[in-house]
Amino acid sequence: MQLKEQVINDTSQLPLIVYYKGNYEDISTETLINIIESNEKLAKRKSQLRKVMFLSVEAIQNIQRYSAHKGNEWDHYLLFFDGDSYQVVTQNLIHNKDSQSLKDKLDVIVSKDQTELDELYFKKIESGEATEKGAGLGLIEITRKSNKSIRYEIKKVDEEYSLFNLYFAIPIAITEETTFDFSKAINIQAKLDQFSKGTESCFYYGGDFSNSFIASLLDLLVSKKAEKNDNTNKKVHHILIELTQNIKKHAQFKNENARGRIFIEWNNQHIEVSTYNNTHLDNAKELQKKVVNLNGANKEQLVQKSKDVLADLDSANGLGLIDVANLIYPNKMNVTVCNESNDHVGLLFSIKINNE
Amino acid sequence: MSSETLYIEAQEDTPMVKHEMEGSSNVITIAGVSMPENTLDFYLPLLQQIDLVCTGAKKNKLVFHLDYMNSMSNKQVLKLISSTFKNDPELKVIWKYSNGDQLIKMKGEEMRSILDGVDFSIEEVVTL
Repeated sequence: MQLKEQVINDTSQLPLIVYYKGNYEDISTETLINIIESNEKLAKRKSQLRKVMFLSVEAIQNIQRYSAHKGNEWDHYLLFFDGDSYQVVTQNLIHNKDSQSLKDKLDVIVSKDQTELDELYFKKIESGEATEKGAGLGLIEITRKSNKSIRYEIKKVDEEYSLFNLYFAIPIAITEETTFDFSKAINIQAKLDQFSKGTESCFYYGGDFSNSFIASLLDLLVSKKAEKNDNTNKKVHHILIELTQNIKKHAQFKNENARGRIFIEWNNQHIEVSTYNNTHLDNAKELQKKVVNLNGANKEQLVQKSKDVLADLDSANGLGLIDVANLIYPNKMNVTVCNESNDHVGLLFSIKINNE
Repeated sequence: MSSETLYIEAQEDTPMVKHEMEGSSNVITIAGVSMPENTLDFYLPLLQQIDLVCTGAKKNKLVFHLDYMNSMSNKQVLKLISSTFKNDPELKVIWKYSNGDQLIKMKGEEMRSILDGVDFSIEEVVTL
């Protein structure tokens, strides 16, 4: 089984998952938050989702402010909802020289009770101690608002750098429990790390595929400073619109948690986009047939097919797949049928767009 | 000639539509993103409104500058041009695409080859 399928299977029960690995100096925080917000309609606990969005801004800005920004290999943000709680994980590289002061600061914050935290928070604000870098205000805020579920780890990577991991959760039901079990988050994080290894940056999402999500996703991509080549990016954007709208249109769900998944991997040579959704076996076979047919066509044939389908104004026949085949040519589309159960299957669709 | 005017604000998945007069001809500009989930909801009323403002006028212009267009919108855009052309054989279509946007350019070329007799020009817009 390929890693992508493993990630899908390991996260298949999560109604919402958002993961982005890359250089956080290169993207706008707002666009990532808007992607979370696009799930508001489906969220059963809207106030908790809003709290997660608010605290995620702090967590992402912490990566932006404090990361050593040594390449794109390490820094990531992960959010998921498992029905019981929203859980957030961030990871960023820090200089070893900064690790002790960060640890000291966090130990003080973690040791305080809610009243002491509130006092510390307002004291910091009133004293004007909050500098451009925030004086740890974000960490205090996350601890105050996450029922003190915060947990952190600092692991030395080499003589110069360490990895800083931060975990926090917003449970649906507030309990007296002061220690939160992050084993699920740690497992998912490890799987996504393994999957995204070697990519320059990587995005993984499962959730609502509304047009608000698509618009937010396009904004995130446009905000990526690393995306300098307009031509390749435009192709990716057009393809994403077709593929995400296809998920919305054609996916059939066995349960409401299996809404669909999308992966975007940025590499040196190409950008790879993969989508996953459940559907009926007959639909999957139909799609496979179409893909084989389009993969076998040369450029002239593809252009002609596109024109023929467009000119037939009364036909509901979608142009989407032909457009995708045209845009990625000479690369081919790849469809894998997996997770068969009765007449339902999982459909993993992948394409690569070469960097120009 | 109708005194109707037309303006539709852009939404996150539908384009801005603007109507201006150039002498006695109408210039209708459609710009932005066109990827509604249900294209008929947007394009059917738009077609009726364009019919209304263009009634009696000749040498009208349809100017498109789309950043994104989903495949279902593509058919509706073609229908819109085709229907406006029926009422005004002197219609001019200007299809703009941002530099490097191969898909939007290709879509313009496809439509030009399908729409026999329509004065259809394709222009690249260079943005810095």
